[in-house]
Amino acid sequence: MSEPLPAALREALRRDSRPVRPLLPPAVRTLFIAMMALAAIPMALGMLGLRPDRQMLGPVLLWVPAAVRIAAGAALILLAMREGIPGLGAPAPLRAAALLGAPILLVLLAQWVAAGAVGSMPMIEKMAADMGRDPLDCLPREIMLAVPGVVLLCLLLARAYPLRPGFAATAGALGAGLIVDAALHLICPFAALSHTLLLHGGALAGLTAAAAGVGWALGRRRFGRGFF
Amino acid sequence: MTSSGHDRLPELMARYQTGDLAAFEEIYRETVHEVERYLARHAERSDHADLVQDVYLQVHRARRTYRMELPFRPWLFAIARHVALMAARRRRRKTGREVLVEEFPERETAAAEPDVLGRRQLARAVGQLSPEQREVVRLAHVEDLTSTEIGRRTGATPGAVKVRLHRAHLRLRRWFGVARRQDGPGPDEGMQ
Repeated sequence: MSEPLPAALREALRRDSRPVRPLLPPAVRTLFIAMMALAAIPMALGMLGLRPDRQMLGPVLLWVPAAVRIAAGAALILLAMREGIPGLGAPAPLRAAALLGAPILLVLLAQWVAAGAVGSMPMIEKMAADMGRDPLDCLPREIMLAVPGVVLLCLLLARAYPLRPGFAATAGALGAGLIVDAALHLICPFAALSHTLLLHGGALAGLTAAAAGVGWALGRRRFGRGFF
Repeated sequence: MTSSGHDRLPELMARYQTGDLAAFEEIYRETVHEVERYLARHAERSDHADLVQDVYLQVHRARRTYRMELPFRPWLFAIARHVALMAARRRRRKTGREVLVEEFPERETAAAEPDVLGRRQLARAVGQLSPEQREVVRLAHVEDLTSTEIGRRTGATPGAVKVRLHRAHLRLRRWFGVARRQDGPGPDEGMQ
């Protein structure tokens, strides 16, 4: 059976037949984005130092929520990068679990830390205010720290071929945002649940929405549809 | 289609990534019947030939995402599945539009039946509109222009044209509604 290549297809291929270099494996590309997001941690610590209530929180409440955020973030970025390769995308239940699980995880971690810090909260907040720390600063700070990772994610997705670009961009941005949120957790003296959810979560939601918009545009351009 | 053919596919794809069109032709020959069978099973459209070409065009566009250590066929059929899915969505969208288009003239025909309204009533209804509204109705429904084109002619923004047209439709609808209930000419107070 020797089916010749249709002339129209041959012509289309000929118009764009430049050699291409295969993309790096998803795990390596995940590492690039994760490293860029992780760079926020030394940067944030260098600027503001570890949170002032670290003694009261103890090492578990200080480091475990950060580590969980980093692990979950990396997993989400890996999902996004795998989505960029046809045939490696996650099944629908895993995609749904990833998108729903990330905000739930953020709420649970915030609740855990808030419960652990409830006794020291008024004193720490007064101390933070004396140091000139404004709780509202967390929102722009988290966005600024996460933007490089999210931009890199979008560039890598545009170079790949995600069949569900909306999901890929949303999951990846959530992942990069969660890693940066680990940095914020380490420096932010405000442990109240409302603060974490509104300002840290708000920054994460904003970044994710922006990346989802990029994914939507990518899908519209490539396949004539935006999402999933 | 031999098993040795399948084994060669990753190598052929790697060659194609370097710009070797002959390698792509071999991939096409090796896999096109499988792709056709897949689309025949999974795509709703009858013009599978176009879809097959679309699959290979997407393969070409996605070529940098293929790595030799990955099995070739799951990669290829993920693209084929996506093409089939997109075709089904396009078809559903098109079918939806077709239904709307079919419904639209029926409503128009019923409204324009001479025994119900009559040309004179229609002229009278349009006559109740403001001059600006009359003009946009004429340009939209007689000359069949778009809002942008009407805007260019009248010097209004497309948004303003749409608002004007919408208000004109509302007045006409109200007028005809009264006319139908009374089976006669609509009263002026319905227009105000």
